[in-house]
Amino acid sequence: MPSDTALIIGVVLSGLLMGGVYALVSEGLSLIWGVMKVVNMAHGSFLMLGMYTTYWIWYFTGLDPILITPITMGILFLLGICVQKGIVRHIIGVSLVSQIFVTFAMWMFINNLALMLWKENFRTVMNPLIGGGFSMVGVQISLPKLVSFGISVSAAFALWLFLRRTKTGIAIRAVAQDKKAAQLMGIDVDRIYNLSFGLGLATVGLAGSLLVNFFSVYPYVGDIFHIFALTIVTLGGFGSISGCFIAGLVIGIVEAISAFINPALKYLPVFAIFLLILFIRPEGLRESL
Amino acid sequence: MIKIPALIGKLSPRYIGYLIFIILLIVYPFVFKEQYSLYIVINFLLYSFLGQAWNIIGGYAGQCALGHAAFFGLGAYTSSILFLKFGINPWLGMLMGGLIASGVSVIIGWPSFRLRGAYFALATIAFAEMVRVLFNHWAFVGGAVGLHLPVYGDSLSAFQFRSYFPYYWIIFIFFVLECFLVYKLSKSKIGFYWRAIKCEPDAAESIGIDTTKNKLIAMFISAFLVAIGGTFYSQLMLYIDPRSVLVRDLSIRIALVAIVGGRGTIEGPILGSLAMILLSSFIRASFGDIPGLHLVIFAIILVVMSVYKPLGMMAILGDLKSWIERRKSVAAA
Repeated sequence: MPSDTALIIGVVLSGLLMGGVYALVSEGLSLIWGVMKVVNMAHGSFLMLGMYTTYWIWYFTGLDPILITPITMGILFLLGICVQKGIVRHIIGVSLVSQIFVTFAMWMFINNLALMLWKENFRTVMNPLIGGGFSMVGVQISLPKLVSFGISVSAAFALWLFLRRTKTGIAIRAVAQDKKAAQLMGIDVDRIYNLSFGLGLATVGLAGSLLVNFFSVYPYVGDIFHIFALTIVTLGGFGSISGCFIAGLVIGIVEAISAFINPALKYLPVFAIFLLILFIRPEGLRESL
Repeated sequence: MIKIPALIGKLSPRYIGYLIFIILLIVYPFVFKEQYSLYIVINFLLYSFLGQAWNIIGGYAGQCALGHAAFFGLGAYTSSILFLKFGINPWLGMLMGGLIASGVSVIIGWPSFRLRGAYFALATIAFAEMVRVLFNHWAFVGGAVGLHLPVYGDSLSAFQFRSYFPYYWIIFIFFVLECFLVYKLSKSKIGFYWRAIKCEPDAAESIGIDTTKNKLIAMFISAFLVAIGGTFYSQLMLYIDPRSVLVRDLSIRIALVAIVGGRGTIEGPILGSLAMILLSSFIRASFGDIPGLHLVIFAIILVVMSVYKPLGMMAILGDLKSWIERRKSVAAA
């Protein structure tokens, strides 16, 4: 029988671990937002696609989800480039309503396509390689969440490093800061856009692939993650990877604690934080990449 | 005595179009008496009604509000709860629902209107999600199970009927009155304020227009009308739950009809709603009832439209008109 302290530590820890995945979902959104100034309303749907991709590859080949992760990332990266070249390219710099509604249309399209093809069933991967959990000094820890957290943190760090240290990463940041100036310096802005959108979806593909290990897949699974991601991006500052990461952990813990207090209303504090941040600092807590 | 042909000669083609449209709507229920045909046009009128209400804040005042399902739900829930728990007449409940939705819209609008661009849209989405989660778990309003309204048969005072025929007339009258109201508003001083705020918020502010106040008025009227639509829906279905009246899909659909048709015009929401209803009925008729298919196709149309014709079907009609005029002038020369 775990003591009360151990129980609460367990709750906070579980929230923290989940927060790592939230952060990963948000980093993709933040990257797209920061670089292209497009709010991607279909981001949650791409997460759902990532989850289904991993699920179906597991279903047909029997490979473990954790091994499928790179494949899903690759597929989502290519999908991102296609979506960018086919659709998003046309809405950069146009009126906000058009932007929002094109990405909302993508959301509608993907979700309803998933509903049509795969029905409203909840699908779960059976016996993944990383499953179960263990107990440490009375604190329950779920193994898939711990592994996902580890991978999420590494991925966030890798992305951060990529944006700081590599030439391409610096070019992405340059485009985010000033598109015209970047263009004058000889940066191929279209290529950077393709790359950013691809990377944004690859991170969300990674997150989806990790989630499949301990989360059921259904056509609307992305919607709640999308709201969370919007909250995290707002809280962490638009386009800031490190801000996103910290905000992700905070939101994960907030959700876990409120779920512990009242499971039915676990999303309310998150929405409240979202509105509060918007009202207090509408420009975001930090705006930089 | 008024000479009718002379009167028609004075009217512009646009007004003749309105007249024909209204006459068609009046004749329709007498020609197509089947319940299903009535139901389709009720749906069309309801979505035109909701889209037109969104048009006030989203089209004329240019604020991308994406949480109108919250107002719809508040309208539906207020009248139903008042009727179920306190025995208050649904017609009165409808007005109270409208006022509650308007009050809430002002509370949420006042801080949100400081936000520009995407942030305003995000705030309204977050607000609507909050309302949905709250209603989903609030036992007093039925939680996720929803509310069943008791059946009374045909009763005008209880706002429910066995046939769709009376519902058709109620929504028709609501719709015509609303279009008239929006038309009058768009031609009044406040309508010009709204357009000024939409195009150049800073310039509007600098010449002394109180932008927040005028946006709040637009939001107030819009929320009130959408809530009335919500009560109509609950009386039509006699059953509501958060999944049907408070979801994000609904917020999007409400804005969608106005955007596809042409935001900021009277005809826009009507055209958009007509397109959506025709399309979904056509797809149901030809492919059977595959859930989600009509929305998939509608999404494709929306993407193409937003990219090439961001001002909607009205812009296409405008292009068509100028093309015809060009042809005419070429022919004359």
